[in-house]
Amino acid sequence: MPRSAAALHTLDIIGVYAVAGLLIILGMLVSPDFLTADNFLSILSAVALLGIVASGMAFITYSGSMADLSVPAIMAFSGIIAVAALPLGLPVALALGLLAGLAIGVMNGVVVGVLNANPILWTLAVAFFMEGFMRFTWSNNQLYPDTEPGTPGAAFIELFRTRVGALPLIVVVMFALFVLGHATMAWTRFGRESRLVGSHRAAARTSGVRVSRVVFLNFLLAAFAASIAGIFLASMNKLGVFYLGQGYDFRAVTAVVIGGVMLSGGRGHMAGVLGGVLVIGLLTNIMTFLGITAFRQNIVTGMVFIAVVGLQQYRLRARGRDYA
Amino acid sequence: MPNARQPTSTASRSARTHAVRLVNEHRALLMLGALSSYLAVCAPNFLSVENATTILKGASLNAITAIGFTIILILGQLDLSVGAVVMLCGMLAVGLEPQWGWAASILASVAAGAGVGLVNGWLVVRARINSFIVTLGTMTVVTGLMHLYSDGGSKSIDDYRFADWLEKPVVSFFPPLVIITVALVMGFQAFLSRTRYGRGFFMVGGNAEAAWLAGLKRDRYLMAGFVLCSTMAAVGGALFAASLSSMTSAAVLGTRTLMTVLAAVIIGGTVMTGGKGSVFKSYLAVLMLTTLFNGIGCYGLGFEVQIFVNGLILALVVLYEAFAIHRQDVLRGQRPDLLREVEEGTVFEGGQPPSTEAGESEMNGKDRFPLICVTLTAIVAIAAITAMYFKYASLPVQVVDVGGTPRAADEPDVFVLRGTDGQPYLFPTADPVTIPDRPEDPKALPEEDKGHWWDIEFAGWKVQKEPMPVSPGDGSRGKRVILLKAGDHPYWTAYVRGFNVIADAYGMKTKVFNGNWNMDLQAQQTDQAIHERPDMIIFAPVDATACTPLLRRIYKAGIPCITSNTIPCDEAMKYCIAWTGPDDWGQFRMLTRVFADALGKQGGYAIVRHMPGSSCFFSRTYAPITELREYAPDMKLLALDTANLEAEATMQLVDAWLTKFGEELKGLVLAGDGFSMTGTLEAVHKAGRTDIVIVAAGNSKTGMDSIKAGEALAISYQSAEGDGALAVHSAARWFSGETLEPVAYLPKHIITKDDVDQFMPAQW
Repeated sequence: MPRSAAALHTLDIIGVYAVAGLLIILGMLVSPDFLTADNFLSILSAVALLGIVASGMAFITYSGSMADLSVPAIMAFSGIIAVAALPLGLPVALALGLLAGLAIGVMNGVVVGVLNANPILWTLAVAFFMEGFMRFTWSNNQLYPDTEPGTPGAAFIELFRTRVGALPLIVVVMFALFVLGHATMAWTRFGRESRLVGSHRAAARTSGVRVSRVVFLNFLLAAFAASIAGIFLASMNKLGVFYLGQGYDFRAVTAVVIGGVMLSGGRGHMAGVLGGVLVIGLLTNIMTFLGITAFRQNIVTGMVFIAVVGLQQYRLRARGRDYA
Repeated sequence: MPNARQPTSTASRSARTHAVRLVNEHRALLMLGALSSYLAVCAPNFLSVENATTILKGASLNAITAIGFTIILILGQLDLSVGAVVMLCGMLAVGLEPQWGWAASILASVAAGAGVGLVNGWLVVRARINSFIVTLGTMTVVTGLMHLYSDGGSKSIDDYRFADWLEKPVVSFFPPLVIITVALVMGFQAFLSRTRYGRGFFMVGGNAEAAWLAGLKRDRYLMAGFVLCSTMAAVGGALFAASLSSMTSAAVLGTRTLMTVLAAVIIGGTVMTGGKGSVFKSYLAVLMLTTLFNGIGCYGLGFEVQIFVNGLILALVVLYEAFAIHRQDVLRGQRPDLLREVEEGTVFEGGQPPSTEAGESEMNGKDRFPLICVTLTAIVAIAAITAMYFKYASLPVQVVDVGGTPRAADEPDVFVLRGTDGQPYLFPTADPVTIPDRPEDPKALPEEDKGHWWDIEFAGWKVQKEPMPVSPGDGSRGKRVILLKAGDHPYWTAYVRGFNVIADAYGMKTKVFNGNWNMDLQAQQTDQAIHERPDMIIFAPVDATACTPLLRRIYKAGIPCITSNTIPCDEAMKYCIAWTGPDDWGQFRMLTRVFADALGKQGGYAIVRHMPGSSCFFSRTYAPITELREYAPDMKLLALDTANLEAEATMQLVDAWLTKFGEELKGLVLAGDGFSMTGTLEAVHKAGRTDIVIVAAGNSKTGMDSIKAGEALAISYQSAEGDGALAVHSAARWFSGETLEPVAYLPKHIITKDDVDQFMPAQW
């Protein structure tokens, strides 16, 4: 990467963190209790699930497929399967839950990657019929694990509540996924290929990139992250049900886009996405401190979202890098 | 372009390829035709003039919204805010009507919609932000504005003249609502395909460069497109609200409208990349989906089947389209001569519509990798599902003890039947209720005053009912009862269980419609239920206020109706024989007193509210506030907010409260003991607070477990099975000629650690 481009690259990352920094200053003004380790830990654990989903969704957006709307279905499905398979033992249950989510990812990957279906529409269709399938199979019921001490169920619900040192396991997993994601996106051949596919699919194809495979793997990664989040969500709620995970699709896209990944693909980085997730967490936390109710929070969040993305767009245009 | 070149060969293959193309072009019409002919022959109660009107009427909201949405897709853009605009503008139309009258309020709401469109357009055109992002943002903002305007409740007006006019057929079986819809569709179809400006939309969306060369101003077209799209959504929302004289603020109406419209427009043949589409075909596709939902309802199948089939149809269409493009790409890139042959029908044996298998097998040689993955995963997934299913099936099944086989006698002893939690479904005597006097003007009192809520809390007790249908007095045996339930939830699964047990005991025939929390769907289902002419409709409203016109329709059709679960407003109570369900206010007052006693009537507390748009959003917030004001005036309300009943959001909310208020916060009142409880307990544990007193509305398994573990102090006992049982029991009493009380409450009880075991296992 040429030096000037690298500098701009750094600047892009700083962009989101500048917003985060502003929010932290605002928070300090709002309440003396804001800038405490406890509060930051609670912000982190509140956005950890979103962060995990976003770390996968970022690959979809980065490689030019915009969004995976089947994420809620993947989360619910992996959660239900994990809970249902608990009698087989915790490791098997977790593996099956993960595989269940990955199965949807594979289906998405093949249809969007190989058959070139429209990603938004296909994943919407998947979300529809998976919802129907899950409602039908479990008769709209919640599936509870057996949580007697010593059973796999008890270990399963502890999953969300485990701590690694001072940090909750889920926060550690989120950071791990972001580090892995960053390594994959920035330093591997697959990451570079994703970038090329995201920027210009035809150019990627002519230069010998196996586009189908790259898109396929991106959907697989998104499903992988969503499955992990789904299992954690089921563990947190101590049950599996078809509507767990609703809303995570658009929320994750919001985080990814605030984080500077362009919806048109091929531009952005994982560090920015992490920043986007933090901005969302900080914003909600500060607004709750201020006593702003959920209705007004919606309005502010929507406006901040548009404003941040608008600014990024403006800076790109000012540098003559309009994506149009 | 498929139609650009005429087939030169006269071979029959060419004709067949042409036929495939024709089928694809008119797929919405063909699907609609095939589906309705199948349903007309096979489905019970489908083929009737009334049902045709129901479908046409039911499609109008989605159809009008789909007009604008088609235009925006033709331009190659996306508008995710249409659902939110529908809700905001419906709310505005109803909210402004009392001061301004219908004409002005509808105009104002349409103007508001156009305003949203202008903002969207400006951000896309001037600020050059991707329309997906812009409208994702405005969707959130507009939903927030709508909730702010409605305060999370519903709005309604008691004047039905305009609604009746919209609904009543004028020309054969077309009511004005349908005529307006069709006129709009036809008008826009003509505008898009017959005028120069209209055709410009296709050019700008399909080929921006050509449009520029032709001198078309892309920015203006985009601007016009966004304004038109939001305006049409506003018209749809305003007419929908006008036809019901009310509007709900439950956000699911907006999200389902967006999803259904998106699916319908694509099924109708519009492509997301722009440049191709038809308003008329979108309308046909909306009709097709509405017919599908209607038909599935005729069979008595649930929403799960509807959404499943909807997903499959969309998936097939997307796959077909992807395959068609893919086939062209492959051929165009490698052998242009082959492409011509395909178009002339000389390759692809028989010109059959290519299936997905064909698509995958074609890729076989190129990239086996994904296919291997598919096979592997499919095997694993099948194995997983089988394993899981075995395990699930081998789990101990809770046996419903119905006291032997249902006896189906005319006067069965239903009071001995016990539900899955070991409690009786029904109690022979109800708790005595005292109704205080209605204040002069409840709304003039502050919200913290009990009197402010009198009309909601005691709805139905003092209302002057319209003359009610007379009971046949011949018992309930063989009577057909239709249950219109509000939506899917484990509570409702248990409700239907209780409902069916008692209905079986009385020998009634039942059928269930599921409204999926969507006002639009419940309105259609109400019409559908009326056309089936049952002996009784049991109606569980999606919305306490907006259900009034639906109950009125049932009343006008002469069908006796009992409302259940959510307590409707006073106006709605005029049109039903009785209401049965939980005394939400009463049990929350009891719960609050237990809460205050545990805190010694001292200290600060906070309330986690229910979902906006539900009646519990108010009852489970203001019952505690008003009760504590009198019972424990020293207690201080620190905060109240909704987390949409999500565990993560609740955790975040309570976390922030605990940090903000610290030791000042002594107690929490939760509107639900499921996800709200889970999230709250997480936050409380994390903060290391063991002194916080928690009470919640019950009683799910999660709630009972936390009572048992001593994490929460108390929950209310609200038997879901009992709720269903009480409704159908009241129906049975009415059939045998008894006079019903206008309101019948479920027994109230507060579950604490002392007696929690009596209520185990939980019903849901």
